[in-house]
Amino acid sequence: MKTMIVADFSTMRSALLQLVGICLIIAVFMGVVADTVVGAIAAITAMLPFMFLFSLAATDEQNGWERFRLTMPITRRQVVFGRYASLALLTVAAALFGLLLAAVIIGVATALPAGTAPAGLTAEANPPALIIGATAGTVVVIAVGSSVALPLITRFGMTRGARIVPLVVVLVMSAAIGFIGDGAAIDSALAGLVQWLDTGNNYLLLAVAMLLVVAAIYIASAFLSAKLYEGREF
Amino acid sequence: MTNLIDIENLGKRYDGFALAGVNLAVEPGCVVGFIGSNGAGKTTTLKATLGIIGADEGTVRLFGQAVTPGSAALDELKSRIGVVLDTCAFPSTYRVRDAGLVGRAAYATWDAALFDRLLNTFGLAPKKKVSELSRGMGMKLTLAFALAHHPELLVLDEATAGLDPMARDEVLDILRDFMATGERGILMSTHITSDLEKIADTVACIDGGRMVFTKPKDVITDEAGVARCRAAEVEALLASDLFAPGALRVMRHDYGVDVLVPDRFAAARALPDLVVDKATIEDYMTLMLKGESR
Repeated sequence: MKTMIVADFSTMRSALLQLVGICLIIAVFMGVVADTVVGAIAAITAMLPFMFLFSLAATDEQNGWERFRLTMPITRRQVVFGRYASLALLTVAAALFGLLLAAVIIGVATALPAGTAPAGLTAEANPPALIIGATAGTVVVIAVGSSVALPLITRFGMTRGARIVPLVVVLVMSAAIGFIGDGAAIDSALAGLVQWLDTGNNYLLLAVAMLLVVAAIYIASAFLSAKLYEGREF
Repeated sequence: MTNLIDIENLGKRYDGFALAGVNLAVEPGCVVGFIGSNGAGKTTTLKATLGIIGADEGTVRLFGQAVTPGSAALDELKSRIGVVLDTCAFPSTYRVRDAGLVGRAAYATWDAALFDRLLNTFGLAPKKKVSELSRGMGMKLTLAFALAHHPELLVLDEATAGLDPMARDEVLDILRDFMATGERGILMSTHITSDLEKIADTVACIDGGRMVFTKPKDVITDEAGVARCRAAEVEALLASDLFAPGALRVMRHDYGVDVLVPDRFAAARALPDLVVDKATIEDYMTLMLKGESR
């Protein structure tokens, strides 16, 4: 597994450094123009892992890298678990980077004379629970998305997987909407949820619960991918 | 002494292609050249040997132990093998030194000092990006990676393809150095049969998923010959009873007939007017695959 993590981060090192710079620009742009810290954090936390995942999957298919890697003393199971571990590490790092950036933006905006910085960037408009909750929510979205995409990419490779992943996502969303029911029911449920979230520390409570659930989904997805990868022919 | 590779009756089926009854062995101290036309089954055989694909039939043993794809035991076996494929497989975003980081993580026996020495010998700057390497330099990086964990066996799949003659000679020198200890071995799949004439001990040929021949190189390049015949000479040669039935391969051209003879000295003695050239591995393979058996 260590081999995969080293290999993955070596592959993405230069791209990640460039992306960190891009993230800083996006954060400042969204903060000043859109007057939001939460949006900036969500964008950063989501962008880094997804870019990491799809770039690695594309690299696997270049010059027979995936096949060559299997000639090293590393089992297919370790390849899959290593890839999941790499992505998890990067997601945590991206979330921490987003939180750090949020703290810096809020700190600077709050320290400036009143009326200088947009009101949406100050500490009053961004309580810690909101920032942490937004970050956790983004991590949940990434983890669920990765849990769906990775088994397909693992089984079919990036080229075929890129065609299948959107199809599966649309089917899952359609099924979910069909299961939930009409728009009125969703609106009502969301209103109730918002009210519940605004009570006490429920925001953080839900964030922690969601993280635990998606961690379980992510692990289950890793085992499914490992099983699918066993049957992959090169 | 245990063979480094023992392949017995290997079979693998795909849609439109089947590998069947493949037998191949690499003894310690031996370089085995593995030849055949495109799609003959060379790479499939190598993939099964390395446990990248599972066999449908037969067995593969590395260092005397059966290869079971996906098993932890296979990891230990793979750690004793260096592999060079037909391209530099490292991601284009890697720098040369990154291959060393992966090697250190992957192999318990990784020798960072040796890797650095090999990079230096090959003129590979550690900071250079893989995307900036020429094909020859990329192959040298792969070779350095394959050698830096002190493997006992090298498996090469078209490792010298696309290299200029100078670069090929350099690679062959490296392989000769690798074989200097006498207990190591190389399985080398290639289309460049002239490379095998310089380094191989045994040549094995596969066609259509089946082994055609496995011969000591000297039997091919020293003993065998190609008789360049006119029509009347062909008949004389075939009627001579010098060789067992089926031992000759006859291929007709517009300008004459080539006959592969297993013993060129015997043929020349029996028919002194006959021109019998030494066979190259390419001649031997071509006549064995395309010639009419007589």
